[in-house]
Amino acid sequence: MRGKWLWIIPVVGVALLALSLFIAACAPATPQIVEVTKEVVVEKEVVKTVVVEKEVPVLVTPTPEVKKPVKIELWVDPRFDPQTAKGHPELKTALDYEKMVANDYIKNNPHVSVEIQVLDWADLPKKVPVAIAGGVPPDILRDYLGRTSAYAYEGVTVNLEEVVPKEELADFLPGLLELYTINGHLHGLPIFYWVQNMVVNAAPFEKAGLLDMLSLDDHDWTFDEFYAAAKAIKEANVGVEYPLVMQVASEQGDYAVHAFIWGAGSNTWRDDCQGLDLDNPQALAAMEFLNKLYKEGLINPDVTTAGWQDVNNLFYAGKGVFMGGGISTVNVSIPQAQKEGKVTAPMDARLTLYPHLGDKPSGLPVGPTGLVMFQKQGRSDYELQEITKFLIHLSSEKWQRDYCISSGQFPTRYSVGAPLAGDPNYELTLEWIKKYGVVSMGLNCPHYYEVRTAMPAFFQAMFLGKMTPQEAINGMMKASKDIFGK
Amino acid sequence: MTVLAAYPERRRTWWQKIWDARAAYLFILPAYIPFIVFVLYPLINGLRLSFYEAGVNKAKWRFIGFDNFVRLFTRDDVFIIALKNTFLFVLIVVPVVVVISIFLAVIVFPLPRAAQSFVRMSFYMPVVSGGVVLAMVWIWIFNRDFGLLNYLLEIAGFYKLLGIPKIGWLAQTETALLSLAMVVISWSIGQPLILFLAALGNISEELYDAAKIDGASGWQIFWKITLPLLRPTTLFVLVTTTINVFQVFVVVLLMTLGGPANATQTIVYRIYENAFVFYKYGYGAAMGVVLLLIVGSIAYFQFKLLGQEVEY
Repeated sequence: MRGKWLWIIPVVGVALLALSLFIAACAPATPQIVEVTKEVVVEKEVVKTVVVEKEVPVLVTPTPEVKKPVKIELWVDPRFDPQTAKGHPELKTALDYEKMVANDYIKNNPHVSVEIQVLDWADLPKKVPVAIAGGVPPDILRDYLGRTSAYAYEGVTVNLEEVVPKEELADFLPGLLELYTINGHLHGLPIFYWVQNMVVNAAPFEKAGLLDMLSLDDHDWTFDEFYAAAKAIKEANVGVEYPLVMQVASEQGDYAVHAFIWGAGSNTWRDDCQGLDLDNPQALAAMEFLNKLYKEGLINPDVTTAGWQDVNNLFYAGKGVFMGGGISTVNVSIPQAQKEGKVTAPMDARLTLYPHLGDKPSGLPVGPTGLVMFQKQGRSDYELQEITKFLIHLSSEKWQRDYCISSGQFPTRYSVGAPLAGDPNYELTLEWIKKYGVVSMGLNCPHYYEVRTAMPAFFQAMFLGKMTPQEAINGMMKASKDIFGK
Repeated sequence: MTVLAAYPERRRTWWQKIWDARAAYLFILPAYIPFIVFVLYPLINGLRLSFYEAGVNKAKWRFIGFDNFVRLFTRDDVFIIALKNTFLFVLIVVPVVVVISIFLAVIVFPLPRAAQSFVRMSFYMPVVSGGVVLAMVWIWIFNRDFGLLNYLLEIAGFYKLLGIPKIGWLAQTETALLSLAMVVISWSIGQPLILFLAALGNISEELYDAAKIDGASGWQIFWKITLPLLRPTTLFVLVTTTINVFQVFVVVLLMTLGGPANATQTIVYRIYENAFVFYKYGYGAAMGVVLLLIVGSIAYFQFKLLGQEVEY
């Protein structure tokens, strides 16, 4: 019988232990005197170690502040796919990359959880507006300015100048912040930007002994010089069929066509952003020049229906030698295509500038990508602060540097410096920006996407001989006026 | 009479009528819930939306009466082009689909069962394959430089004979819409073919025997017996094909994006662009209403003209 009650001994023991721990935990923090060492400067350049007394709290006190959990929804483009982006061979998918960036924040902010969606390029312009209209937008979106500006005009984004500290904004390039300022409010934080120019495959020119025609010493060439080079390489019988490969089937990558308009000395958009600005002799000259190139077989014949992949394939196959592109084309896309065996012709891809009509080349088109925060009903001030902190993390100096290296982009913060310094293409592009400036693509104008989408049909009509260059310009101007309701 | 007068029929309210037939309504309820949620509600909401200036921000939606409709027909050149293209597309595709599927059904019907199944399967395969897959295959077929169509035409000496350069089937305004029509025809024949084959099986053999005894020719039999007795199926095929073809979208999105030079712009593609590219939901909805009115009117006239002697 006595042995039957022996189990009570360990149970009581454990209970007493738990009670003592509980009492200890709830006890008020009593200061203790402990010895710590501190270095003090006694005399110039003489350091002495002394013992001082200091009050420190006891360890059992629950000092760390417990923050309320916050869930952040982040939607991003698939730009950092480790298969094509540089620098993280250990990662497999674009989502892995985004998780890496988010986890870097979460490790110091365990109360924050981030739900990430990587949307493909086709889904980005569809899923986001539907989510906004449905009242369930993400907290943060990373996307191109040409699309986020439309959300800003709709008034659904958070005014970032009200939540992001001024000292933080002071680190960003002011010109880019200006691009992101719509109706007086900063609708997004630019985190990197591309600069586009022209890519030329110099290999066929070298083979044909025509390298001098490319003006690769100063990259400054006129429409006539470009025309002469294109014609000469086509006639040189080195496999080049359509020297300039491009597409006007869609608005994607339209800078490659508009570059001729800028090169001729015209803007595409009015300075006040209220529509197109093509009704001038310079724009007409550019259109006539493009039309002449097409009619003489110097532009790919499927220009009206080709996709960007088709354009790339023509370039990789050596059928074309000039196409639109930037640092990432030369540093990332072409080497990747070579690795995959898609490049079937000798390739010596180099960056150059688009030709011009006036006395100097035009400015370069710049396309920033930024972080936008959407307004959400029921979001508390605390949540807004936490989301802002995460937004700043995503645009931080550390990660901007990584974005730039991964995908050949330019940073938007002064503090990032030049992450690709030493890369000749990067240096060259920076030099061009300094020398020639940038051009306005109208990315932050109202109805930008609608006007932009209306333009290809007129280029197509011109190339197919259904409209003269002047009629195509008139058509674009009318479409723009109709869209703006004028 | 007195007896009837003594028991006058009670005037029942609509609610009482529904209550009396509650068992029947419960049976159809599972089908009606998705109909209400996914068809009726969006339809009514779409009608309402067409009178608004509506973008992604609901707080900024504004009632503008008929402004969207006025703009459609006075200031939107591309919509007018899309309207014309869609009508042209319907005029090409619908008669071809109806004629080819009747023709094929009549040829295939007398074949042995195995051969008939093979033909049915062959023509029905594109229906189940999905538009995206087929569009991708057709893009390759129509490719100017590497496509199968130009390859075959070149082998056959077509280009040499006519002395013309290779045709970019999707890249030229003259051929782009026809090329898309060809694609849509290729996957629209399967279903009507099966319907016509089933309808042919329902025509009594005695009618054919009697006609043969009377000395009717094959053509007379087809014209006087087969075709009139296929009329209910023809009407069904005509109406459903017309509705489907008016909604042509996938081929445009995947193969031409409405180009070149708006030669393949269609109403539904224009709706898509306005609603999901330019975020003009109200304006897109107005286009949807116009499409609804057009399709509804055409279907009504089709029923009026062809449905008079049809017994269902």
